[in-house]
Amino acid sequence: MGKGAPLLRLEGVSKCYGATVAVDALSLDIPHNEFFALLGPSGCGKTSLMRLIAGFETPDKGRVFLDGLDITDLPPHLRPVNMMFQSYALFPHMSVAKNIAFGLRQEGRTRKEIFARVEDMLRLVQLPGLGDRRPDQLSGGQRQRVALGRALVKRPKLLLLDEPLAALDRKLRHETQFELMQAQRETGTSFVVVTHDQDEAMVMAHRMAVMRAGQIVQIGSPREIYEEPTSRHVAGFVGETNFFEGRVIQYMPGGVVLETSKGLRLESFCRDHPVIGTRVTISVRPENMRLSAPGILSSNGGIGEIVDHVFREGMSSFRIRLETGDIVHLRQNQGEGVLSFDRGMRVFVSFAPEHARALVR
Amino acid sequence: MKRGLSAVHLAVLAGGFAFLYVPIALVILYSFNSSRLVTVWGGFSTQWYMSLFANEQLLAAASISLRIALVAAALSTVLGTCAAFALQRFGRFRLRMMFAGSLYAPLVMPEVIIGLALLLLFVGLGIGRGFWTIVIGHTTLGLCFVTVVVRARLVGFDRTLEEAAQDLGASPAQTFRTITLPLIAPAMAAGFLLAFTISLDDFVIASFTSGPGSTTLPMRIYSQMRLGLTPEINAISTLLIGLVGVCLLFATSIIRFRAPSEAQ
Repeated sequence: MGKGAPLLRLEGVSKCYGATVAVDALSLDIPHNEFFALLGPSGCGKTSLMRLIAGFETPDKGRVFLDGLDITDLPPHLRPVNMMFQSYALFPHMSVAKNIAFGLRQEGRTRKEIFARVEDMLRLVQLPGLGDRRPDQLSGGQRQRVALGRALVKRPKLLLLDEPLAALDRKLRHETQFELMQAQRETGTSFVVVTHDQDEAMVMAHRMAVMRAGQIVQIGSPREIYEEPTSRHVAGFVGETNFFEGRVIQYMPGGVVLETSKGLRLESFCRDHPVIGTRVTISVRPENMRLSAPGILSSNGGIGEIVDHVFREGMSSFRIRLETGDIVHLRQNQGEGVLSFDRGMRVFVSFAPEHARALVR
Repeated sequence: MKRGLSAVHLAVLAGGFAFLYVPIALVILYSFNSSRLVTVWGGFSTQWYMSLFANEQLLAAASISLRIALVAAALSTVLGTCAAFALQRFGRFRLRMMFAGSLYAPLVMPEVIIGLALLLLFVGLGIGRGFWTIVIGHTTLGLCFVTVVVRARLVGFDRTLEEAAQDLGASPAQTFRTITLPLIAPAMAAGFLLAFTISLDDFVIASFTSGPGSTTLPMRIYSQMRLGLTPEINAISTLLIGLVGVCLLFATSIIRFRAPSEAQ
């Protein structure tokens, strides 16, 4: 394969465990120097997919290519792919430096080279001088960085990270996200992160895939996936959203008009062309909902009562119960005139059609 | 009495220890007795240790016992470790329950029966009894202890460590040598020491499976006792107690020493 060929290519890969289909005829390309995230709930097959790439499982069907080479039948120790385990899997009987040196010693590098590269790696993961410690003498965050260093020191073409932040506390997780992104930039290695946490994927990844039942349901940049979900599942899984269900009753330029079972008439942008009468779901992000006093701008929305008002991270979050019974979430920056609204008030909640997506699936 | 040890507690504790250790303490004490009479205290002396080292029969028996114990413990460790892997790692193979049952049977089977069974087997096959038949007998007993200890270790073994090693370029054989073996070595050492002490102080199986020229130390002590108790017996018993005690101390400290690092 020539230049521009993907680093990793999966072609129709399937894997079953008994009657359970973990990975279902999945194809995926990952280019060089990319931070890629596999996002999905537990049991969606993302961990199986990662183990297929690492070589701990062999696919029932399909091929796995790395840099144009078919590695489907290669055992894990011969693949130029390294993995950072969720439990970190640090060797408890070895010091930090020995843990990091392990992969290089398997390659038969000279003592001098190993020493130099271990020292470099300790610096990259910000653990200089801790090479003599044992894993059980380190904090959780330090262990995570040893695991990262150990997986990176062999300069793999591809680094797999299985829930790399799951074992860290909230604050540390936040800092570590940026450290991982920096490590990816500095090494130029492609990172594939498996995670169930959509925030993690949104923050770190250049591109992400949302998985469900062994298949990729949508793939794209975090922004595309957040703003242009192609299915109700993706819209609901990635970020918070409001759903309105109804039937298409009319077309409008670039979109549809739908009527909910409770009688709300709502306009929305739509990528597909559903026939009149089709059941569709409109997804509107909380930050795209607008609040106003009832009676002033009464289109594309409904009247309701504010049931909750919380202030969090510089944003005002509202929960509004519409007259139809639907609960709507709304989020706005402080100072956008939302301060005058509070619990118990009757309000009109609306959205612009171009901020809504009508989804057929 | 801040730590909560009342007089009653102390008395019970003392009673318990006395029940367990007074007989052993007496053997050790009387081994330093200068009197010829085993039961009369005649002052401190180490003369019986001197005469012990001149008693070639006892020394020969001790040397046979030690050699048997070493070989049997080594065999038990290798076979017991293999058995532990088979039980823990090979999934649900056919006859697994029977395999586990027959492996653990010697733990609960009366030794007389094991001895008798082995005797019948060796006679039936026409195998001359001696050093190696005792080794085989002791290995059957020792390997189940090794299996129990090593398997306990494998149950708590984090297999992602082995996957991590392979991911970093170690072949399955290298993974076993650099990761699995060092991590189960304490259990294997503990199992070795257990098998060693079991072989060292076994009397029943040895008396069924020994032949001419392969009299073990416990057998020699027993036969000398029938001719009359000599203080030498006390002396050699004291040495034996010391050896077994050291082995058991090692075995338990190895098992315990390794425990904290697994907790994380």
